[in-house]
Amino acid sequence: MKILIPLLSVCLLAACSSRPVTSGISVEQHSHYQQQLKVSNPELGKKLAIIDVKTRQTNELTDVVVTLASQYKKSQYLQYQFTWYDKDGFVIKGNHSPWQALNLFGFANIQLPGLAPTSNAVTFSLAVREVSTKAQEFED
Amino acid sequence: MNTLNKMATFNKLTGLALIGLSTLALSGCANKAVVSYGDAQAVETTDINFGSTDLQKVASQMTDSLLASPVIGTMTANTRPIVFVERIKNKTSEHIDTESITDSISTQLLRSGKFRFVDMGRVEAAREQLTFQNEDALVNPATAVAFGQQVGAQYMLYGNLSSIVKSNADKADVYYKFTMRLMDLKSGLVEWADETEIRKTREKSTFGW
Repeated sequence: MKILIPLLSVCLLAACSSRPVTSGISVEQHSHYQQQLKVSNPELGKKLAIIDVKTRQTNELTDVVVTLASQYKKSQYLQYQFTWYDKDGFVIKGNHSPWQALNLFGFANIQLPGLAPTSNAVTFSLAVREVSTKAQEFED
Repeated sequence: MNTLNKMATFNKLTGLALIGLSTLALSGCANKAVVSYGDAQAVETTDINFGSTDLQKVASQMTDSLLASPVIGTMTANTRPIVFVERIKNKTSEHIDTESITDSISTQLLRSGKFRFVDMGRVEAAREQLTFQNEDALVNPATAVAFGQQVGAQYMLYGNLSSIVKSNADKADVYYKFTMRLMDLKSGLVEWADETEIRKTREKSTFGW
């Protein structure tokens, strides 16, 4: 009985806190040759790595390919989003790049392609995070 | 005797507290209606039907493919071609607002600065306005936009959306194929075509979450 009450209280509190995990790993390009990797979710950072970033010009638009590598034996259910910036670092308005779902198999590599929406867009950032599940929402 | 009574009272209280907490835990916070703003760009998996994420994916991939195509590079090198969007034929079993897909694609192409569009959906409204300007005494004739000055489209954008749906007691699977083409209206040649696929699966969850 003494154990049951605190246990139920914890369950009750957990049921009220429903916040998905939205942190992940990202890469930001500051200039043509300078990129910065960020790991804001160390758990995901152990299972996933950004190993390569390539850029080129296609039809006067910046064309990007980011290579993701799985360092985990099971499939990972992820989502990614590109955000584009102009030469002054302002985000391109009306960014058409939505979060896209991605199923990465165990120890597989995948190239994520991104094309700048306008010729003004010169730098980008790419964010990758896990698809949040109900089970994660109760962890703090 | 007193101690026994106290024990009984304590047990009763504990029992009541336990029942109260269980009720709360079972009901959780589910009874509260909570309204919040979500991310319009987030991945949406409410059900297996064609959703906002599919629309955004299709529009974004088609725009990227068209803008990166070498043929389009040559076509848009010195000029901004004029395009008209015919329609996306919905060959799926669902009701899908395909105009919404073409709206997204044409908006993104316009924003890229490489194409110009004519809107066939607003021809009647434009004609009504020009008739008013040219025939109504209220408008100064010097400022009226004359008839016969609009430019014709050089290219036509059109496509198909089809699906294959399969399901059994435990699993449902839907496969969408979106095909898009750009036709040169002068020669009738298809200058660009691409397709994108989406697969969505719904399975019964093993755990009760």
